[in-house]
Amino acid sequence: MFHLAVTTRPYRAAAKLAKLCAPIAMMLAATASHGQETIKIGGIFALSGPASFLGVPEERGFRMKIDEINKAGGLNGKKIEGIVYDTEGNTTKAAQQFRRLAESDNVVAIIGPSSSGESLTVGPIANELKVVSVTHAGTEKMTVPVTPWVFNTPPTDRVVAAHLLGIFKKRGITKIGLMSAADGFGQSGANVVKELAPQYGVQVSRHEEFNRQDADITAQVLRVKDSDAQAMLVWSAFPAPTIILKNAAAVGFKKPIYNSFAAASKDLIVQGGANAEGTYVSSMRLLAPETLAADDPMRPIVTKIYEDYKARYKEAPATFTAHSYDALLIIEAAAKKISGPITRQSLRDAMETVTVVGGNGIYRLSPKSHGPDPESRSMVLLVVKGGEWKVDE
Amino acid sequence: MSSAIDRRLTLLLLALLPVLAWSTDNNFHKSILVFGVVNAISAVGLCLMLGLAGQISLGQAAFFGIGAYVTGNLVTKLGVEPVLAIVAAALGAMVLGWAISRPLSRLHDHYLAMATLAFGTVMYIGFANARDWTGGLDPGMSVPKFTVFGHDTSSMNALFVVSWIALALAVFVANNIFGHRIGRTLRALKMSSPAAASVGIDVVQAKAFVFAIGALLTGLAGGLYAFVARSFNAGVFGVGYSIELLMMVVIGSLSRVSGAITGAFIITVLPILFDRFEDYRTLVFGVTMVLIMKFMPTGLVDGLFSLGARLLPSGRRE
Repeated sequence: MFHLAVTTRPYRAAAKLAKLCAPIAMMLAATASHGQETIKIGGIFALSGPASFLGVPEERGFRMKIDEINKAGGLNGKKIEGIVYDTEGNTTKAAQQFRRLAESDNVVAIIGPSSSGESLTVGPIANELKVVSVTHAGTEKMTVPVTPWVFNTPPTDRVVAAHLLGIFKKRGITKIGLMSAADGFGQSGANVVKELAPQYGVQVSRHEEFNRQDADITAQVLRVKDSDAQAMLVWSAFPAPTIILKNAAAVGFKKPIYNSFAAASKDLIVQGGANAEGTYVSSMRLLAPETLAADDPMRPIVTKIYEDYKARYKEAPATFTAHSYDALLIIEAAAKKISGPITRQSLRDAMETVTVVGGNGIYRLSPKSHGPDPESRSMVLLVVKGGEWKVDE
Repeated sequence: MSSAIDRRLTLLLLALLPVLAWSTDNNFHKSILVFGVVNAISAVGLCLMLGLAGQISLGQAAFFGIGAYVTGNLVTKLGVEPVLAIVAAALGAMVLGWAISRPLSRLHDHYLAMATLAFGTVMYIGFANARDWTGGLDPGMSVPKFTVFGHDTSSMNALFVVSWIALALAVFVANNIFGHRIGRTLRALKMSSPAAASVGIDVVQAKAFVFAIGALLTGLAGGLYAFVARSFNAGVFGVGYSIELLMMVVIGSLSRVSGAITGAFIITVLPILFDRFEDYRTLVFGVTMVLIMKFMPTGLVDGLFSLGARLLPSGRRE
């Protein structure tokens, strides 16, 4: 609107506004011109906002794998053009950007969004628009029940909960104090733990909630301490897990503390310091590839992701990198099975037939399974020993 | 400037929207328009509260959330006809707006801003934790397709028509308030509530009225949002949305309905255009907002009017 009014006379304000508009027009023109004979794959990640700790490593994994595929000649001889938009972790924005990729950019597949809430929003749209969608939700509701167009790469909270409860059973822990964040991740995780616990003979004798950003969680820690729980299970993203470690040390909580995969990051050691010593975490393998057993089937791919990432970004990857990396591994494997052109339909059909060993475990995809299952061996129990992660299974 | 120009501009904007909607086959572009219309309805509500009556509210997201959740629950749990559910939700938001204006009626300016901010925050925490009713932050709430008496009207075109009609209604209500006795009462309230009281205006009642109308329109927008988004979590109804609404009203024009609509579309569309700047997106958006506020402090619509007046040689000033 302000173009018209502004360009006739050089008012200072007008000139500034006009300058501002020029790059927009250029950008729009630039993006419209390129892109023949490529396969377009879209990515929507929470690159800013509260979920950016997920979105940023996912976007890096996405770019890294696309460049690698293109260097090797592309998918069936065609280069991939990756298009990424930011969702800010907002469900409304995620839905908008998803439609944009599907209808304006005409991509064959969309990878992301980063959080469970956003993924649940885009799921129905994917099925409505018939576009391949590989979401990064931690909740099993994405793929249970299976819907035709939605796949999911992260191990779900059910997989992680089953892993941890299995360990409790093995170690004779029958009563736990559950500490969960009062957000989507914590609410979903707590529900699954409570639902599965009886099957493993574990009783949740105390359940406390807190806000992820709370500066002090002593009150909840004390209530778990006063209960008959034999261990504490923390289900929250940072920074709460490190705060809990600090508070627990301060009040003399001596029982073991187990963490969900959201705390599987070197931040737990860096921020927790001495308090982190002896803490357990159910983690994806990418956190500490060098500690994996030599015969671990995921070890080669996990080591490759870890080293490629480190070479490119000069830091160790967050485990979430594997979510988008695996999504592209699956697409790559599916493309090899397609003889004709790669379309949304042919890609979807081929994806249901592949078995892929990825950073998050083994995917055995079929019309009945669109993501990792409890037999995928996605998780590994790590413990902090001497300021380092060690496998403890 | 006269309200007649504002009214003509508002009608022009209303007429322009269907033209835009039918000039594109792209459902993404249509969905942006629909979200713009929904936001515009909310913004018209806040425009009446803040622009006309000077009553700032940083808790509008709460009314938006009430609209969405009441609609969602009525449709999914009780099987109420969607249109009736939206109307009921808007009325529910109106009652809430009226009710909270009573304890807030002695507050003004910063204190009112703080109190409404607190109200919005409390309601957000409520939405996030009343999981039986809202689904909380995860998994959130899912709403079936929008139907009118059994006919499937969930396509983007149909949703556009429905939201457009709602916006036209909102504009009709707002224009009538602006132009009538109650509008003058509210304007007096904005200038000075003791002075308004001294000439026999029932200040408490006037404040309650404008809060109720603002909540009604924002609740109506929330009800429509439920069917446009189909699936949403409590995160949508945080303080962020209240601030976005405030930006829409301030950027467009505080004193005009057309400004609220313009602002709503700017705040809805601009961030999507700016995605092309990738890492610099937030910076560019922020700088744009600062520049508009710096050079057009009364809003874009007023700013363009005065710029136009300066550019026209004969000086046809309002």
